[in-house]
Amino acid sequence: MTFSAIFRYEMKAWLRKPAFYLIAGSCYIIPLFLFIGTGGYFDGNIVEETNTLLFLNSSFQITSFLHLIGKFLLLLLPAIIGTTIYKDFQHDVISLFYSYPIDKATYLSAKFSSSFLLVCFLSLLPLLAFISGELVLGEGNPYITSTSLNGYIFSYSLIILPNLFVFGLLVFSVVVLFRNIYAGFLVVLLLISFQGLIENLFHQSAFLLALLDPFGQYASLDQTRYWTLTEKNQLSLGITWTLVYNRILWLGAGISFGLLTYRRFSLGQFGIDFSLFRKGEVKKRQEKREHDYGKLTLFQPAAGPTQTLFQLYTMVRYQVSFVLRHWIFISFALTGMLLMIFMLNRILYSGDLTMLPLTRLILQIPALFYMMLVVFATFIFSGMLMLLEKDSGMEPLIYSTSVPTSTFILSKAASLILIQFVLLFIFMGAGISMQIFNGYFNFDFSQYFFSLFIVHAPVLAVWALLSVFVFSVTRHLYSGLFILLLAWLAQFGYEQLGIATKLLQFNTYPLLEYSDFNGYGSALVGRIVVQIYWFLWSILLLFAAIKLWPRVQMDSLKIKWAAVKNRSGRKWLAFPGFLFLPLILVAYIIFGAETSIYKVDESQKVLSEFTEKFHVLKDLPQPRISSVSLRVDLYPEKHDFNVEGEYVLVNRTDVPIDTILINTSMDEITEYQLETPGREIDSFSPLNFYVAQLSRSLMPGDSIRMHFNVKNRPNTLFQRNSGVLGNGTFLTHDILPRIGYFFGQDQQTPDSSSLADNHYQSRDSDLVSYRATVSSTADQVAFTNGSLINDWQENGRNYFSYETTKPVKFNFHFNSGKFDSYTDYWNDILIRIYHHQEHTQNLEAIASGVKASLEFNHELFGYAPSEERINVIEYPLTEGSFSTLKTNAIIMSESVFGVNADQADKINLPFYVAAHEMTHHWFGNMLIPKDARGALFLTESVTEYLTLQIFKEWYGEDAAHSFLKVQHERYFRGRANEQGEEKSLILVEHGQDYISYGKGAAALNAIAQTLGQEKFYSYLKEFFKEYAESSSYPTSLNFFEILEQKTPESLAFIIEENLIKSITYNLEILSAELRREGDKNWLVDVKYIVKPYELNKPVDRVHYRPVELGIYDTEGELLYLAPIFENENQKTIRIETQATPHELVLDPNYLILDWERKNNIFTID
Amino acid sequence: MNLIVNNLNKRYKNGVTALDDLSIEIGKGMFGLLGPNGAGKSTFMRILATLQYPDSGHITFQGLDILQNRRDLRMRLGYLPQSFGVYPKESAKFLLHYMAILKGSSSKKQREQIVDEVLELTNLTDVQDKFVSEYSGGMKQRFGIAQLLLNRPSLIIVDEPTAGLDPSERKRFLNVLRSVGTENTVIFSTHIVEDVRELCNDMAIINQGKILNHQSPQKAIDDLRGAIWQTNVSKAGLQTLKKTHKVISENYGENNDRSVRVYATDKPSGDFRPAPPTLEDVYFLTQDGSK
Repeated sequence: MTFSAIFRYEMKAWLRKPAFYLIAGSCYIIPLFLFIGTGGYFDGNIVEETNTLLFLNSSFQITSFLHLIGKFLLLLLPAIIGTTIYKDFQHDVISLFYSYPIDKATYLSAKFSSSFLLVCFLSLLPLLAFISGELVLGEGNPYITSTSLNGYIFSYSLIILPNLFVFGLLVFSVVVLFRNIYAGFLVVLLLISFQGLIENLFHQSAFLLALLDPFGQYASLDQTRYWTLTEKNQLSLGITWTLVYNRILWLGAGISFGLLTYRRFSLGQFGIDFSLFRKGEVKKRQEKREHDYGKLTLFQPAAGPTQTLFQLYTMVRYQVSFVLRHWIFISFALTGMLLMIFMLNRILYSGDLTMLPLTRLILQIPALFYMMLVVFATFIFSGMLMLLEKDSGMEPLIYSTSVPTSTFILSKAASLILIQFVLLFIFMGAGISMQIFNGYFNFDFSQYFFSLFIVHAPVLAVWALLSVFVFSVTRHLYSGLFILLLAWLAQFGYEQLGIATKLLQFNTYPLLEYSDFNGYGSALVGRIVVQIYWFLWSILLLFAAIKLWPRVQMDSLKIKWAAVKNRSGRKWLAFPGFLFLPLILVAYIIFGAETSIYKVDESQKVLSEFTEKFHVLKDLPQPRISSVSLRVDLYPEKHDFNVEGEYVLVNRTDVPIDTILINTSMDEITEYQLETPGREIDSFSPLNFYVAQLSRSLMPGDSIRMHFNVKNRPNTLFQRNSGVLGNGTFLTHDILPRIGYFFGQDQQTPDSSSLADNHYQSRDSDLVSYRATVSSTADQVAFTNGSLINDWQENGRNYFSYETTKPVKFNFHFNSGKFDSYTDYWNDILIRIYHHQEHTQNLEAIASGVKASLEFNHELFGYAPSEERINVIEYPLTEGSFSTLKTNAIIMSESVFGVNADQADKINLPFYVAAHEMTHHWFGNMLIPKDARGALFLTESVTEYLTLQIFKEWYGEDAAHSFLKVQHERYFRGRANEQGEEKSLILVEHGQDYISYGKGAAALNAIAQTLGQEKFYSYLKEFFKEYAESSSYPTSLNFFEILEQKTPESLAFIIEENLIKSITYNLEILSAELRREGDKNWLVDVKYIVKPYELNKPVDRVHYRPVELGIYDTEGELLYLAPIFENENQKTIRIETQATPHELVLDPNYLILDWERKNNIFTID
Repeated sequence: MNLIVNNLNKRYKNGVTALDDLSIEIGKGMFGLLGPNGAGKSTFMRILATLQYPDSGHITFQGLDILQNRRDLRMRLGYLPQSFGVYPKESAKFLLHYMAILKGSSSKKQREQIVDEVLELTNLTDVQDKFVSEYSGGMKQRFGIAQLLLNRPSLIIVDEPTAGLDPSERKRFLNVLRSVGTENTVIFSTHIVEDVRELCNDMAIINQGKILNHQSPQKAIDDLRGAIWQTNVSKAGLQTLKKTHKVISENYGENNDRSVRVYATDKPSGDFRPAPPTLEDVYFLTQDGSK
């Protein structure tokens, strides 16, 4: 038999199989749907702004898509390449070849190359699908640009094809060596897990990650890390050295393994045997007893329910132990544990922050990935167990026993579920071990059990039962696995395919968030209902599996059908019939809850309709809210609230007002009433917009009262329509009605002549006087802005009355919860932290942050807070991870309370957040910027800069450097995700946190360092004094003007570069040579690059600016720090030192925004 | 209380008729089912063992319709298929305990006793802790018998069990089977005529799904008494002989000459001497349709 004979036979054999066409169809249809689904083909939505879109067929996006598809194509390897060789072992063909004149090289190469060719063909189908997708969407589609051949050629030739070859060879080799097809599937899963592992291990070393990534994903996309949206849309991917190294490494590994296999393989009878357990010994009998059949013990076979249960138990025990002893299980468990440990490690020690190893953290992302692994393990183990009798040849012995078929199937299902339990216990063990390892002993066993066995286990069980069903229908491993993986993948496609109802999204659930305040909260009930629905379905599937199980050989569909009918007598149908009742009931509940989901339609269509009708009212003079009085009743147990309120509206214009525009909150039900009789003359209900005409005009300087009632929409199974939680409620003023025309108005530039005199957080009010009474249940404390005036109990509820001593911004909070409190003082001001009773680790740090900020800012700017106490109130992380200052209350997320602040070398986040928020008292509450672009520069950037100074005072220079490093990274990470245009710092817009926070802190620090810290403080003080005491609102230009005025011409670059342009640099030390000069001195010749870029484009030098160069000894002590001036792109400098220099660092003080800082450091050997 | 098979039909998708309106009654004792490869033996055995559906027909055993009451039959059934495997890396002792439970054993003590007994009976006690997947062919077949005996079945179906066994293993195996066969219905399919002669008190010859001959081996042999003749011929002579006589079989003698057995009710003319009939003669003649 020659190469070509085997080759041709294999090709023909595959092309005859229907399964091949099923696979080919999936390889085309799934990518096509993914592509056109992402392009909005099934949504029918009109895409609104074309400049924020990432083209689907750009080189970058095609490559990203094909990386994703490439991972699924890996499944073809065991299915096609693995099976091609495995079937010879399975049917023992190999022992026939043993006697043929055929050498192993011909045999193996023919087998591999034929199957690899088929895989190559199949892997081209997704490319074809994408190209068809481009045609289907058409050029008019906003997601489509001109076809990028680069993307296709680059991805296929450098990523997909080499990956399939290398890992195909690996799978082939493993199947050959172990003579086990499961080993092939395991290889693929291990490779995917390996990628996850190195992602967690090397997330801080881009090169190592790119080099070791088996799929070349990081190596190929590393170059795009800081690409902006436009670059992603326009640039082509190129071949980098990292990619070349990565490909060589993995090609080398694959080929080496292939060669090794070739050497080990022989056309013999046995593969490699890994026996972990003993082989039986031959025992010699002491005495020989004679037996004949007639004397055999006679027993009456038992057949009742007890015996059936006993048989079930025996089979389950054997099957579970069979899997648990199997090396595939051990590999899975080890991989899962490692993956979980590394992932947790990454979460706990991400960059410059350390988290406490809280149970909720372990049960979030690590658990999610682990569950994915358990699902895959379930698929593989279900194949192993369902085909165990078939594969071992024991079918006829077992099937001819009197054990009912249902017992067989139940034993398989129960075994799988038990194996899942074992895997869950392993996860729990690993989690607890990690907590112990990190010195955290507050194990929350109930949370572990609830999450793993109530939330996750039922979902896994449904997958187990589906697997049992699938393997009852198909008795082929690869087709079974293929179907199961498709079913699993479907959960990511339902939405894209427009399948929105939970009734059709098989075993798919939204992510459930956990908070110590409320556990899984109100979303849990809805989820459990859907879980019950799918569990009932899976029981029906199990029933179908029993019916379809081919215990008795059925040679035709006719016989099969007759057999199923025969077995489905009335008695048999009674059970599923009985199940249908609860199923229909649950489906009805889900359907009802889904149809009652309330959705706000803020589509472009509605907005255009509104603008068309009402834009004439845009500049209509409106009264302003000057006083707010509220009664807020919170009902945590029902998640409801009710607000009774009154505004005083004042006409501050110089014209009479007879029409008032009222805009009530979108999610709530609001009723309002104006004091002066009037009538509603128009409204636009989709946006809750009302136009009221007063019967008597409101004269300039006059005021009018407006009364209102706000309550939430009724809560439903899947939707909580209010922010009221069982514990830890945090509502804001968003629920209250507002005055004026709010829609479609972008922030204007600060130099715009039509800029209204509004502050940045409110268009209908300046400072308002505020009083409110907040009530809650008897076991909760409730808060709002201001000082507590009175509190009392009435009808079993708690009431708290608050009032602000001075008028404040229209920026309110309503909190309620069961809290413990921690008290501290700064001078006479009481600082009280209201926190979850177990969140005690960071209270001192938070209090210190508040105190440090009060001390620092008070000294610099004067003005102590007007309220006598500062409240810090914790709220559940399910509501957000941000923190904010509302008058005298810092509302802080639970996530901040979970930080491990004991790590000396890391940023103390609780301190930082507290200090930042407290600083907003000066920049945000007292100095309130005008509503224009750049407002956030005056609040967030200045605050972030001041926090840095507080940080430096409190924790020292090194900590301040860590702080700056974080801000630099924040900036570069953020701009890579920018969907629009990167604005300069003084024109920063909402949503550009990477500029206002990240760049803001770095830029103001660089300016202060360049101009001199004290000078900079004095400019800031001057600016603050001017505007904090006046009633006018400043813009970023006002501060810029002060700076510009005070900055000498020679240093003007620093303002220009940081505030009005978006300049970044590439700094790099190319080489450094060390020489001895005389007996004492060292001479260092440093060759370096300083290259500026504006919005990522190289710019011609407009000015030459100094760059600091630091030289350090082996102890890390600074020997020399000087600004170096250069006047060409590349420059050499000679430096003389007395001590031995060890390390050179360009820009050691983080004064320049440089996206790659690793090459700024040079170590001299 | 016999096994009664009526009008059993089985036709495969590829057009092969495995069973063609087959009817037979089988009583207590060893029953041998003889037939060439592809005669329909295994299909018949699998249908009897409740592992395959016939297209039509009826089977009753001890008055029980086994196509309708598979489970009841399985309680009394012992089945050893032509080829089988076992769970990997498990000892004979473990597997027998496992099978005993599946066959309805509820008491541990009783199970240990019966497992020991069947191990003894099949001479596997010494190797009871070895993995069955590593047994030799003969040992594995004996294990097959051991598992079959666990529930002391009243209907035993053994499909070509001696194929591939060496002579001593075959002997040992047949001895075990013989001791079992006295009290029960044992259906034993084979294409080795010698096995049937040694063991069975009843037999049938089957081909193309039909029963060609059904009687006791001894009776079948007796029927041929006086009708079997033997002679030695040359290669050329054999061709001539085949044209004129009913040649049953031919064998090479020590001197490379051919010894030919011929069926004839009267002594054929020529150099023929009478020979004692054998079951093989019955088999060949039946296959040929002469008998």
